[in-house]
Amino acid sequence: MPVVVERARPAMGSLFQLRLIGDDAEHLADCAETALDEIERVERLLSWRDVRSETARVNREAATRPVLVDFEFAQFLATIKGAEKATAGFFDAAVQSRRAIVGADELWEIEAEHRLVRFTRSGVRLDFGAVGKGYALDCAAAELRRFGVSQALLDAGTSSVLALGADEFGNPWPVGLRNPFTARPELRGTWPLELGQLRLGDLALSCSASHDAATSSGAESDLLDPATGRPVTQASAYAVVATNGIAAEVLSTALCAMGTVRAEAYTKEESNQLLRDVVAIVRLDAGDDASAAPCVTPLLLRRSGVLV
Amino acid sequence: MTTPPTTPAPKPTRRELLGLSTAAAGAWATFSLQSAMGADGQEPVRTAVIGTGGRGSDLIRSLTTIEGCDLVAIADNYPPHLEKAAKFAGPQAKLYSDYRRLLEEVKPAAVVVAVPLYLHYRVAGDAIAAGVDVFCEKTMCYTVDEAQKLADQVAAAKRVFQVGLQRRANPIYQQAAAMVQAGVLGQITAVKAQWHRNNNWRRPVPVAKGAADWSRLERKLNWRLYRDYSGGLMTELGSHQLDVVNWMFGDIPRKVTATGGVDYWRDGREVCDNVFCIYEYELPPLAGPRPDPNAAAASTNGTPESSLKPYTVRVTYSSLCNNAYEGAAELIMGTKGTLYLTSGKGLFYREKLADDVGWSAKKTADGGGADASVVTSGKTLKLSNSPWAHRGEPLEIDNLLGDDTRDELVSFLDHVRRGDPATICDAREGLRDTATVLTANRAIDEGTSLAVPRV
Repeated sequence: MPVVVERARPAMGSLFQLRLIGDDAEHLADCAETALDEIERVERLLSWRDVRSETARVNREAATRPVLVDFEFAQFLATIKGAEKATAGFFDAAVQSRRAIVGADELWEIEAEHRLVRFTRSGVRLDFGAVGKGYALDCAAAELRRFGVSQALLDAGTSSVLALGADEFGNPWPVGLRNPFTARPELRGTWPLELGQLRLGDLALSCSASHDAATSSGAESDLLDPATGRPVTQASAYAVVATNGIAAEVLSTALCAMGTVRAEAYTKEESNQLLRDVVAIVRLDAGDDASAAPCVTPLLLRRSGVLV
Repeated sequence: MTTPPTTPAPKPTRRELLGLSTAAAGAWATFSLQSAMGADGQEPVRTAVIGTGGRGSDLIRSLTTIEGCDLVAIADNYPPHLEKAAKFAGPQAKLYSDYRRLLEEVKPAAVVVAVPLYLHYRVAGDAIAAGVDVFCEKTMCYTVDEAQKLADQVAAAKRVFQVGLQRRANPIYQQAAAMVQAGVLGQITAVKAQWHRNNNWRRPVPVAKGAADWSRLERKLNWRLYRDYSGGLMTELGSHQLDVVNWMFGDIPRKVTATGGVDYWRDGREVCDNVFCIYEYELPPLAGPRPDPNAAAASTNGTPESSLKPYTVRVTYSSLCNNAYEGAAELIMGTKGTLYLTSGKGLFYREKLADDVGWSAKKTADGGGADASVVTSGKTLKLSNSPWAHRGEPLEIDNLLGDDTRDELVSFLDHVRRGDPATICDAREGLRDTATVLTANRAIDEGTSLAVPRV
């Protein structure tokens, strides 16, 4: 019988929970701690709130001069810049600045070869809140693999998951998709909590909802529309399964910002670089009254068995 | 009408150019980094890193963000660590498994030493002998004797040397030190410091336990747990915090009483998983610079001798691996206030003193000031007797600058450039720190109180 070791630690405003499968409990525990340390390291790198982070240093200095960043951060920034381009700006790491800054296209630039970041004007703030967890999961998974752990589920709060290998029964890890709109008073008690199930093996999952239980009854969305810097108005939710956490996070966020019509068209773009990393995109439909049930609508499904 | 004399713009200091200050950054919008030249057109400092495990990798990442630092080579005799670090160091860095070959072939201007503790003396000593400036991770040496020899060697060679005790580069601690020196806390009477965590302090070993290589790799990767390589919690954690005390007091302790053991993580480790120490410092009556011995004769007239006598300040230190409640912090207690210090936040609580009577609160602008006291009939206001209820809001000390590890390296490279041996933590300070923590380890082993050598 395989050994199961679980460890959890708060980071990035969420609780990261790890479930590791193997045959040596002590080794798995050491690996879990190492993976959690790696998540903490990524938080220290990315969090704009922490003055010690590289993001904070860039935010402080990049409007006045090019800022030299390390190789890892330069690579990360180049990936993010690529993601902004591949989503036509619907994913935007500087979205927090858009409310005050109107009409400027490129707010920040990365010269990957020289590892230099610069802002095109003042008032820009990079915020990797939408992708940080996915990147942390990617890095933590790499640490686990490095020490020979091939079966694990890494859960970053309720929105991002990375599955390594199979669960303790040898099956892809089952992950339930909860209806993000269930707390809407008019729907409460009418529909099931879980809308569907994903089966993940060596895949990352990210879910985004423009409006959730807390915001659906009138409060503003915390997702911002890059065109205006204002909260997204149309309620939508997506789950994206990809080969890496960053791609999953970028797409689930961008799709919410696009609105349903544009999002559906986007998932059909054949030559889109970012979509190549994607295995499945599903939309979670809220349902509006007793006649339209909340449901899961697959927009892209490249692998059978992922969506149950 | 006379034209006011034009003052030439102040020349920015190298500190500013190296990134220590962001205030002047606006004036340097056109400053190009792409030349990879150092500040003010000097050659960049050719830097190498020896030891590329966890800490070494952190230092490498920081070095690659510092303008004017040219990371030319890295060395580690454990290939997986070297390969992983190579990605952080970049393609320009040459890789070496033998640090002596690195020193010989690359001839760096500066090296950063982040090898296990027992190798510090050998590696740092070889680098100094090769004419290289050295940044050495804490604790400076595995024995006091080695630290003494290394400090002497550094002094004789007149090299720039810095120990990686980065709280000295942290703005919160710098502010705290200034407050202690200025007497804001009154007379310091006690310090309570601890680093409490709840984990086994192990690193995973990449081979299964039964494998032939396991034992060798376990000792190599988990060197912190074995006495041949490490001083355990005191050298790996305590050294940071006791250096804070040494720094703020401007002296090292006279004596230490300590105990500890392996009482929870009985997994074959040799170093204590819990330690408790009481250090005794002797300080002049008020915090601040120690009194000038030449002034003693003059001050006898009129000053009672007892008030000049040094007094003892006791410092408790503990480190745990099985309860994280108090975390890592130092509490500096004085007659007028208390400083609570961590790397990310500092808090200052003023003491409520008996002579802190709030008469003024009862005096009002409309003539109430004429009364000696004002009473209101009715129920007496109920206040808690608990001192916790009267601490008031603390003064918060924030880190507004950045990462202290990066800043300590910026400072070190700046000293290398200028050939200035007065680093923020030189070899002499490193020696004092080494003596402070290693004497506690000896006291634990011998089950007694020991005098800390006057190094």
